[in-house]
Amino acid sequence: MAFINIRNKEIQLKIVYYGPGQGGKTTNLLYINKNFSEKIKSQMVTIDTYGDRTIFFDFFPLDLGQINGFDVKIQLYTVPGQSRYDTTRKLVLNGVDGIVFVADMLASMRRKNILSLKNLHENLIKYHKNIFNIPLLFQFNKVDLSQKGYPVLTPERLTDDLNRQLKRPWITASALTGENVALTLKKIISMTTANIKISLN
Amino acid sequence: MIDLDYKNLATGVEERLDEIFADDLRGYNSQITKFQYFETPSLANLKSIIMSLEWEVTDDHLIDLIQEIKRLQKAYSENDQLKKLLRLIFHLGRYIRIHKSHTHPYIFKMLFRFYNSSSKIASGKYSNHENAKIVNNEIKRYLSLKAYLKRENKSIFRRSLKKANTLEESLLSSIDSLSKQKPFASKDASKNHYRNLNNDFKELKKFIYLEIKKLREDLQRIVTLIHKKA
Repeated sequence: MAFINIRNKEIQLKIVYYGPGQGGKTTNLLYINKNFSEKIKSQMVTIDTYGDRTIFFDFFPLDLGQINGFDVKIQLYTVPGQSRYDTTRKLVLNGVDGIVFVADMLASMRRKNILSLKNLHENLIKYHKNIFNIPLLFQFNKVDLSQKGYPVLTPERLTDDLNRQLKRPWITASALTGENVALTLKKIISMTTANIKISLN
Repeated sequence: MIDLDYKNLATGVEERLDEIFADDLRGYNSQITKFQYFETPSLANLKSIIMSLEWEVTDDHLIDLIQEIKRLQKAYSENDQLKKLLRLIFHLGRYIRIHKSHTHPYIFKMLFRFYNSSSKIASGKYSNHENAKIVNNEIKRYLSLKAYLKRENKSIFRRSLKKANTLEESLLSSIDSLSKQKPFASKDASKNHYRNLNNDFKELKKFIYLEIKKLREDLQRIVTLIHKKA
């Protein structure tokens, strides 16, 4: 849930990049870090933790500065996609406000995309969150591979596999070239901010 | 109670993000597509569900399968041949629902086969006569699969019955040998103790005998039922 501090006039949102392993979640953040770190005035941090053996997740604090009198801070996280790191994924999802599901467009990744989305659904339930209610944006990553002759899944097939019931916005992207990476981030932040309904006692 | 003006906040955030990412957002197609559900009859959803089922049998996938078949039956209400194939897929789905993870792997092969034939018919490239031929072949395959599974079930019951008989014999013989064994306790041990132990063995033997007898009767009854149905 979004962290709002009325006294300090501070809003913190947590956005998680979720998806199968090797799908391009970290590459998304690396691109933002490389191209916008000066404007954002922050750096990406890779955290090494213990519990699920040695694992990594990425953290990228994004300071948007003063907006409507509030200091808006966005925390971007990625999760390890490999199935064996489920404990970390659950941990990172704690308090999530918005999710970018980075699906891999490679044809061979079809099942992994489906399983990863299923895993997201199950892990959200553990935090009493509903995948149907949370701001969620699909990013179909590696669109550049189709031009290189690799067998890729069409956006129609991916929406059919993953988004048939959810009916969420989706976008094709290439985290490697940066195509639509910033747009993805902009969209999910907008979706998440628009979703905040806060009333404080 | 303090209410935050989140609508203005959202607009403010969006404007700030436009400032930050201005260069990048201009460079690429900024079209975000809102997903449109396929209203036109399409078998793509069906294939996706069958693939999901092959990967993992879950109630959600089975519910999806039933709903998708219902949707397609409506969408193709005038195509009798396709409706027959969809009905076969529905029956296989029902079989999977009962047997879950113990579903015979051949069922999934058959599901894919029926899907392929359905997409052939839905493509409209074949004549009515050819479509009827495709469907008849698939019905024959379905019936032979059904007969094969019946035979499989029978042999499983026979094997279980044989296993139960062998188990009974081995258990009774081991109990016999145990009860006939001379106690290896010291000479000081009281005679009552051995008598009690012997009685316990006899009771245990009786109990196991009765349990196995019941089990055998149950299995025989099931086999008789199968024979009658066949």
